[in-house]
Formats: sequence, C-alpha cells, structure tokens
Amino acid sequence: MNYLLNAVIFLPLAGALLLLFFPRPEDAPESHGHGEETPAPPDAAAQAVRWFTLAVSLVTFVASAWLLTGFDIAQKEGYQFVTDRIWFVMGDLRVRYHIGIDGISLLLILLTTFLSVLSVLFSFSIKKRLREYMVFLLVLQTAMTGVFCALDLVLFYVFFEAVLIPMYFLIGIWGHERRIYAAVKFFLYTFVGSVLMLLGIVFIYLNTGSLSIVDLVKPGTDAYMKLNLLDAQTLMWLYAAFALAFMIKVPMFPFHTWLPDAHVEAPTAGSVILAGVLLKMGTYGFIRICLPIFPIQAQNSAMLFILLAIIGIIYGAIVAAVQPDMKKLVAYSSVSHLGFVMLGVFSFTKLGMVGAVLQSINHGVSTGMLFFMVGMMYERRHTREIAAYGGIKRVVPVMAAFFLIALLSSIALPLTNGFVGEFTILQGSYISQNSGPLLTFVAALGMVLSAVYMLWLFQRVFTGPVKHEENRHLRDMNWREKVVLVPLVIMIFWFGCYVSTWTRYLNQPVDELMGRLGIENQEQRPRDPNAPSPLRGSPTGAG
Amino acid sequence: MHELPSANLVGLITGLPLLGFLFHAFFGKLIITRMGNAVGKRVVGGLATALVFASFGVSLIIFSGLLSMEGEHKRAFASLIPFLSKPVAWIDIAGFKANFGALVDPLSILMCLIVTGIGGLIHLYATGYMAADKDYARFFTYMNLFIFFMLVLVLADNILLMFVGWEGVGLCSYLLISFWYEDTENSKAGNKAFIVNRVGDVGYALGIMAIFAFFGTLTFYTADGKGFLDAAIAGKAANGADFTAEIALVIGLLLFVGACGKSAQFPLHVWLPDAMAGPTPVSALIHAATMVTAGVVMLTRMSPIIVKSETVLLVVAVVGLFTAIFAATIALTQNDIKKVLAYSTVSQLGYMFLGCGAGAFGAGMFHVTTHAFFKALLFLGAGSVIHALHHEQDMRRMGGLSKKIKVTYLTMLAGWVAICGIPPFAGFWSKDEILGYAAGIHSFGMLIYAVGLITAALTAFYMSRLMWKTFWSDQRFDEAALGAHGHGGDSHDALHDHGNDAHSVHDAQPHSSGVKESPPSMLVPLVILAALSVVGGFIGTPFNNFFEHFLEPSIARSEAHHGVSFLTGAALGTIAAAIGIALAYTLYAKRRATGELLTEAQKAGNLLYQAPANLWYVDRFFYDLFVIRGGNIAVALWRVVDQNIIDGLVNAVAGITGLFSELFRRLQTGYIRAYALSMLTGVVLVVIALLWSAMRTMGK
Repeated sequence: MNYLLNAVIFLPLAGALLLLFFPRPEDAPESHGHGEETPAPPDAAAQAVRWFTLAVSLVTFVASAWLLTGFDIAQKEGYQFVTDRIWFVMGDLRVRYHIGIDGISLLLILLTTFLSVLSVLFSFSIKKRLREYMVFLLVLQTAMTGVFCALDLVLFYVFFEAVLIPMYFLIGIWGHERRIYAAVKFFLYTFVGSVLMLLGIVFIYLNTGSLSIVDLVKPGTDAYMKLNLLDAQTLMWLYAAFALAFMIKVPMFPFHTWLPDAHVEAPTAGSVILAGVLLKMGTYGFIRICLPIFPIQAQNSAMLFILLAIIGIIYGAIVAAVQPDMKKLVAYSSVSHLGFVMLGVFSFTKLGMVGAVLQSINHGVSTGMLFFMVGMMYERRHTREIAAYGGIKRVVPVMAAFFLIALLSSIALPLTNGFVGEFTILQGSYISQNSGPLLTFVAALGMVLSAVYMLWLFQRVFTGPVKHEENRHLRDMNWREKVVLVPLVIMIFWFGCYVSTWTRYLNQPVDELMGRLGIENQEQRPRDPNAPSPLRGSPTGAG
Repeated sequence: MHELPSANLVGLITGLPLLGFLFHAFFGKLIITRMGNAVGKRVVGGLATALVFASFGVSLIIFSGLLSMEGEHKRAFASLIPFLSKPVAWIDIAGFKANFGALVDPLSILMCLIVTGIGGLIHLYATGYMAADKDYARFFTYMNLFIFFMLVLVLADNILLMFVGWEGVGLCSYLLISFWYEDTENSKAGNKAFIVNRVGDVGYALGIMAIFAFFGTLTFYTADGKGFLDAAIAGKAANGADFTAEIALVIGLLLFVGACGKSAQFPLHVWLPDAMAGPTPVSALIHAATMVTAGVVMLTRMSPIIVKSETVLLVVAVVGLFTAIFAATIALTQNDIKKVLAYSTVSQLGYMFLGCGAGAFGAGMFHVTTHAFFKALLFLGAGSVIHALHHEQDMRRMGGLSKKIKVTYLTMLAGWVAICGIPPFAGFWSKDEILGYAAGIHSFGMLIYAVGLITAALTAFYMSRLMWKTFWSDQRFDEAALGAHGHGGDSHDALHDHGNDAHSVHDAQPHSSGVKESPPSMLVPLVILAALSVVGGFIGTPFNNFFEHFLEPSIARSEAHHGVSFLTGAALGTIAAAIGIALAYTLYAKRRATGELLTEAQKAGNLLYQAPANLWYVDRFFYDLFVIRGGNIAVALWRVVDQNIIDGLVNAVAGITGLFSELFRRLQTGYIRAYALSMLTGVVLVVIALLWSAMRTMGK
C-alpha cells in the first residue's frame, strides 16, 4: 500500500508535467461587465486544460481518501504508509527519502487534496495564461502534501520551501494591483524564517549525524542521545530557529503582516490554498518538529506562545472589524483563528491539541469557503470593497445563504465545525496549567469579537436597501460555483455534528505527542483531589 | 430505574420541527412559486404549524407518561435523534463527551409543552399575520428552526448540547429580528441582539469549562448517578473532591452571566427592546414567551449548583429585582406599544430571576409559564392592533379602539388583568408566589419584598396606561386616512420608519381603509391564550400546588420559604395592583382627549421623566463606549500599530539596509535584486531582534 502515499504526493506533479505538453489556450479577454459572464467562444484547448487538471486533482483526492481504508487506527505508535530509502548522498550527508503519515498528517493531506479539487474547479474562470496557472496549482499541491508526509528534516525543508515558488508566481502573475510587492514580501518574509530553520537543520545534522524526525524524538536512539547532550542554551536557540520559521508561517502576532498583503493580492484559489493549507504548515511544524524534538524548550516557552496566541486572537479580530476590504477582513480573521490553534497546541492538553488539529482543518474549510465567496463577488463586481456592495441579499439570495453558513462556521456556532474546534481548544486551555481559566477568559472574548466583525460584514454587504444601481442585476450562483461550495457546506456540518469520524484518527498521534511532552494519557490518570478549584485549572491538566 | 414507556418518541419532539425547517429551507419557496401565492402559502404555513402542533402532541404523550411514572425521580433518558434507542456521541475527546441525548423530566417536558403549545398557536397566528409577505417561506423556515433549537435547549441531557440550543435560538432570534433586512435598522437590531447575547454566552461557555474542569463530565444526570448534577447534590465530584461553596460561586456566577444575556437582565438587557424590529409573532414567541425565559430554565436546571452558594443566590435575586423595577420605570415612558411590552418583558423576567434568587425555582418557572400565556397574548394582541391600524405602533396615534376591534380588545383585557396581578387571574398566582418567597430571603427580605410590591404597582400602572392610550381614551387618528398610503400587500420594499412593524400584513380586503379586525387565524390564538391567561394560574395555587409539586424532582431543595403568609401577600399584592390601576384611572380618565399625562414642555423639563425615557442612558453609554470608542481603538490598532509600527518596522529595516545597499547598487545593476536583498536583510534583522527579546522574556 505504500505506493499509495507516494501517488498522492506525486500525481499532481506528474499531471503538471503532462500539462506542459497541452496546447496553450488563448487568453480570454477580461470581462468588465456587471457580473454577467460574457459567453466566450468555446476554446477547446482551455477546456482540455481545465478538465484534465480537474481530473488529476480528483484522482489525487480519491487516492488520498483511499488512504483511509488502509489506515490502521488501532496502530499504537509510529507512522504508516512509510517509504524510507536513500535519496542522495553528498559526502557524509545522507539525505533520505523518508515519508509516512499519522492521523494528524492524514487529515491535513485530506484537507489539501480536498481544497485543491475545489480550487481547480473554481479556477475554471481564469482567463490569463490558464495552462501555467494550472501547472502551478498542481505543483503547489505536491509540495504541500509532501510537507505533511516528510519524516526527514531535509526532505521536509525541501517541500516546505518548494511551496513558496508556485505560490510566489500565483500571486505575482495572477494577483491584483500590488501583486509584485505582496509576492516579494510573502516570499522573503517566509524565506527568512526558513533560512533560520535550515541553519537549525544543518546544526542538528552536524551534532547528531541524523536528519530523521522519527529518530530524533525516540529515546534510546543514537540521534536522540546526541541531541540531548547539547547544552540547554544551544537547544533553546535551535528550538527558536525552528519555532520562528513556523511562527512566521502560521502567522503568529507580530509576524503576521505579510498575510493580509499576500491574501489581498492573491487570486482566489491562491488565497484559499494559502489560508486553507499553507498556514497549517506552520502549526504542523510545531506539532511534528518543534514540540516533539524540543519538549523542554517548548514547555519553557509555552507562556510566551500562549500570550502571543491570545494577543493574536483579540488583535486579529479587532483589526479585522475595521477593514474596508473583504479579503483583508478575512485575512485578519485568520490571524485570530490561528491564534486559537496555537493556544490549543501550547495548552499541552490532549483536548487542546486535538482541538488545534480540528481547528486547523476547520479554518481551512470555513475560511476557504469565505475566500471562494469573496472571489465570486469579485468576479461579478471587480472589487472587494465592502462599500461597493450593500443590500445584495435580495439580488443574490442563494449566495447570501451560502455566505451565512460560512459566516456561522467562522464564528463557531454550535453544530458547525468551528464550534467543535474552538470549544475544545478553549476547554483544553482552561484545564491547562500553561494558560488556565483567566487567560482562557481573555481568549474567549474572541467569540464576541468574531461575531462583531462577521455580522457587521454581512450587514454591510447583504442587508439594507440595494445601495448601488449596478448591483441590482448581479447574477446569482451558477452550477459550478454551487458545486464548489456544497462540499464545503457538507464538511462544515459533518465536523460540526459528528466529529467522531475524524477525532478517532487523532487519538494515537496526540497521545504519543503528549507522552513525548511528559504528559500521560489524561483519560486514565486519576484526578488529584487536592486541587479542586476550577479557578486554578483541573489537576487533569498538564503535568 | 423506572422506565418511561414512550421514551423512544422523544426524538420526534425535536425531529418534527427540524423536518419542517429542512423541508421549508429547500422546498418552501419552490412550493409557493409553483402552487401560486394563495395555495402555496397555505401549504407552507399549514405544514409548519401542523408540525409544531404534532410535536406538541408527542410532548403531551410523554407528559402523561411522566405523570404516571413511578418513583421519586421521574426522570428518563432517551435519544434526541428519532428512531434511535441509544444516544449517539456528538463529541468524545479525552473524556470530553457530549451525546445527542435527551433528559426527560418534569422541567424539560413542561418547557416542551410551553414551546410547542404556545409556539403552535403563534405559528397559526403568523399564517394570518404574514400572509402577504413575499418571504413567507423564509419566515416559517426560521420559525421551525427556532422551535427545534428551543427544544434542544430544554431537552438536552448535557450542558454542551444545551449550549447548542442556547446559541441556536440566538441565531434564530438574529435571523428573525433582521427578517425585514432591507431596512438597515432591523439588521442592526439583529446584530445587537446576537452580539450582546454572545457576551453572555462567553460567561456560559466558561461556566461549562469550569464544570468540566471540576466534575469531569458534561452530563446533567445519568441513570447510575454519575452526572455532574448528581455529584453536586451529593456534594462530591467523581474524583472525590468536595463540591464547595467557592466552586459553586465560580460556576454559578459564570452561568448567571449567560442567563443575563439570554434573559435580558441588566446590564445585558439592551438588546431585547431593539429586538422588537422583528415581526410581531416573533416578538411574542421568541422575545416574550420562550427564548428569553431560557435563562430561568437554565438556572433552574442548574439549581443543585446555584443553591450551594448563598452569594450566587443573592446576586441572582438582586439583579433580578433591580432589572424588574428598572425596566418597569422605562415602560412607563414608552410610546411604541411593542416597546412598552418589551420593557415589561424585561421587568417580568426580573421577577422570575428574583424567584430563582430566593431559591424558589419552582415559583420562577411558574411565572415563566403564566407569563408565556399572558405576554404572548399581549404581544399578539398588540400585533392585531397594529394590523388594525395599518402598521401604526405609536400609542399617541391610537385610542378608542375598544369598540372597533372587540375581539382583540376583550382578549387584551384578559392579558391586562393577568399581568396586573388581579386575583384570580394567571399572573396573580405566580407573582404572588415569587414575592412571598422573596420576602423570605435572609438578608433584606422585607426590603426586597417592598421593592417587588412597588414594581407590581408600576406594572399595573404602565399596563393600564397602555390600555388607556390604545383602547379607552378618545380616538386620536384619522380613520379615513388609514390604509390610504397603499401599504399592505407586498409593499415592504418601500422603507418605513424604524420599528414600523407589519409591513406585510393584510387580509381579505387588502386595500380597504379604516380600522379592521384581524382574520380568524389570528383571533383563534388570541382567544385561546386569553382563556389560559384567565384560568392558567389555577395549576399553581397555594391550596393545591400541582405545578410546583410536579416540578419538584427537577429542582434542588433549597431553604426557600415564604416570608409573608398567603393572605397577607395576596392582600398586599392586590392592593399594589389596585393602586397602580386606580392611579392610571384617575389620571387618564381626565385626559381622554389627549391621552397624555404631561405636555411636551413638561416632559422636556422633567428629569424624572427624561431619565427613563432615555432608557437611563444605558444604551447610549454602551454605544459610546463600544461602538464609537471601540471603533476608534480598532482603527488606531490597524492604522498605527499594524501598518505603521509592526509592518513599518519590517519595511523600515528593509529600507535602512536598502540605504547600505545603495553603495552596492552603483556597482551592480538590477535594482529589483537589490530591493529583494535589502528586504531580506531587513527582515532578518527584525527577526533576530524580536527573537532576542523573546529569549530574554523566557528567562532561560
């Protein structure tokens, strides 16, 4: 079955290569009508590119879903679908092609392949250099999937960096007015972080002779022993180098300013992938590398990360509220939501960690949906300014209904996915000894603020009288747009109403991570009756 | 454990309205388009109403099963999903477990009966009231969804699922307040309701977290006594920790914040009066009879925790009492008939909280029940008046209606005597019960009782004022001009003033002018509710208190006791009501022509009038603080902190290194590369600086 995981990673790349042999479609003229899609003459080459790309991403999605059938939930430890062989040798350096997944990777891979299909379908409306666009999307997909599978530090780094290149071009070529600034800023900012990570990787290799994520965290191995012989100061710096790379990627306050620019300038599918998957590479980095390799350092710095996470929750939400640009609003809301994810990770409780993974997925689904919808509005009106809309619910009721669902998921209404993630994170944070009830109270204010910015957005865009004459004849959603959104709606309610389908994949990896952090399985641990105050957090919290 | 034979039907109580919601969401509009306005609307409205009544029928079956159940607990567990015998897990992570399970006990079934019974009547009323609305299907979609969530709230067997209903009804409230969304004011009122409720919900959510942190479970009761309320009654958590008053204080206060939000207690009451922007059936169902009482229901459900802390009880009582008199003073000054009723609702909810705070949760729930009868009636009656006057809500332009819309008038009269507390009508029994217990509160019991009596007099006064202005004083509108504006029909595209309700009402003669009585679909619910307002109190008289006896198994035992004897209390209560009514009579009977007590000049100069008329400046204070100042802070955070400081730092460091690279730029060509390089260097420097300071703060 191991070839299956390789297939999931490399099918899109293969598709991209094939796509290069397709005839290049003519660029369609940009329509500037009022939302009416000018029926362009059917271009066979463009259709071929579109449907082929869709087929590739669909097959990849099916392959990734197939992983579920072969995945053994009962397996107690380690990774599945493992491939491990020498990739290249350079002097002493032996870089392995070592991949494998656990439940956390599995869910993130599913999210990646799922959002990719929808992004491709949405991008049918791309008019400029369609073939290249699709090539970049597919390359991007391979790189992202690779990040979630890599078990060798250099391999991880290669995929991690490889993501930047197609994304850089997606923003730089198909973006909006300030696309060059945004693309360069995105590239450099995240590149800086990863350069530090590369230094860290090199340092680890020089000192331990190992690049294996598996070995470095497993007590008893040579690599583990050598790593832990390093003095505390050095380990702290190493940890910081990795943490910084991932903090920028997440992004955590105050490293978030590349995000609004990149989101605003990126084409719709770029924004969806960026928010939906790329940011999760940051949180995944913490879960897969930072925490298990440097558990003590992570514990020591937990307070700092929790504070930054909570600042991010509140700050992102407040700043989101006053954005005049819909995409910027959603971008800042991402800062807030990712703050929740990081709070969950650094709560060091099982609930918080599971919640963090769930919320990573949820954010991909709900924010992805919001970006799709902003993109649909942009295609109609060629503006993202909130003020250019107003009262369009009467004109496009179906769109308003979909938007409302995305909104409710984003503000974590119960029975939507957002609630399950956010509440478990907050509960985890409440019983955590890292954060505890009072900080959780501050974080919970994000519940109010998210309602403020989202409902206000809805009010200004959809309700009231139709403000602009040109909006009176906006087209409601077509079949393709509905096909893009309906799967997202299904996921919103699936995660919201029956999350057990997914949480069972998370038990084992999170337990393992908790063990690595020195925290035993909380369910089986007896409670300590001497610490009963709910104000001080439960004794079942971190150890 | 004694079994409830009909337990497998419980899922239908929630299932039927959910079915209605789904059906109408997908097919409602289609049916109306395909079958035509007249038939289609009858199908949609009829189905929505029938499903709620069917749910009522199932509730009745369960209720009778519960009555004949043996044992002291009268408690059964069932699945909330129809046709499943065992509850399905919704969330189950590391012991954090919540099922889609139902707890069937007197409290939940009582609420089911109220929600589906009153809810069914209001659905029926709405089929007439909304008949001309172009979004008819959407209205009933939301209404069915509301009933579903409200039933989830009351039936949930764990506190997290209760929160689902809790936020769900908040959503429906939001959707229905801003139902006529083409008026921005309605949409804003919806936002205000949702956001203020969310403030309370944060308290509720933290309360849930505190409960889980201490008790390790989210379930109220289980068959083997492992629920957290079982533990609270036993005084020990599952891990053996003592359930102390300190813990009860923390959990109780957090939950109370949640209750304040949903039940519009001071200072979170500000959303409810604005919520009157919704269609009147919504005001009656959600913002009077059911949803706003959820706070009382929740406190009653949590009574084993609440009674543990004297402080929480006192806080609940004092906030309730203050809200009761505070809102009553505002109700004295309002001119919009729905606003009077809204503040009256806030005030009556205060009474219910006072009852809970006195430890008399049964009395609080009794008032929930009678209030559901008479306040739903008063709202629906007001809707009928508004309908009769072609969308007029301002009582200054009413008067003399007692002879013109007789059925509405007579039913409103029943509501009036009920709310004023005239024996033997419904409100008398429940209010008297609450005040009796309030007098028994340890600290300041008599003072609390006195304030409660004054509030009762104020209530009688403002309700009599409403009756005078609407029905008894001289007519103050031009009947011929009514309906001449061509409202009615599908005309709510045209914008009306804020709060102008019933854009869409019309009946068989849409363009007739003059005062018109409502159609039978609206009058039948009025008559039924009027009958309930008259006799509904007899289920809970002190002579044979079936009601509180029935509820007993759901409520924690407390030390609540009557501070005054029944006869004294009844006498004093009646006197208070009589004073209020008599005062209104003497004042308004002399001013039949104007219906006004004070002239505009007198109002302007009178601080005692101005303060309540301006809502005691609470709304304005919040607006200034959060909307204006909060907005300014947000803009400052964005413009100054985010764009100038944080991003400015990133770009500035890039710029400084750019200066250095100026030297190199002369040597090298290709400034894009130089820019990229400088930016890279800059970012590296910022990052290292931040990292360094971060390491410092870590202390290691």
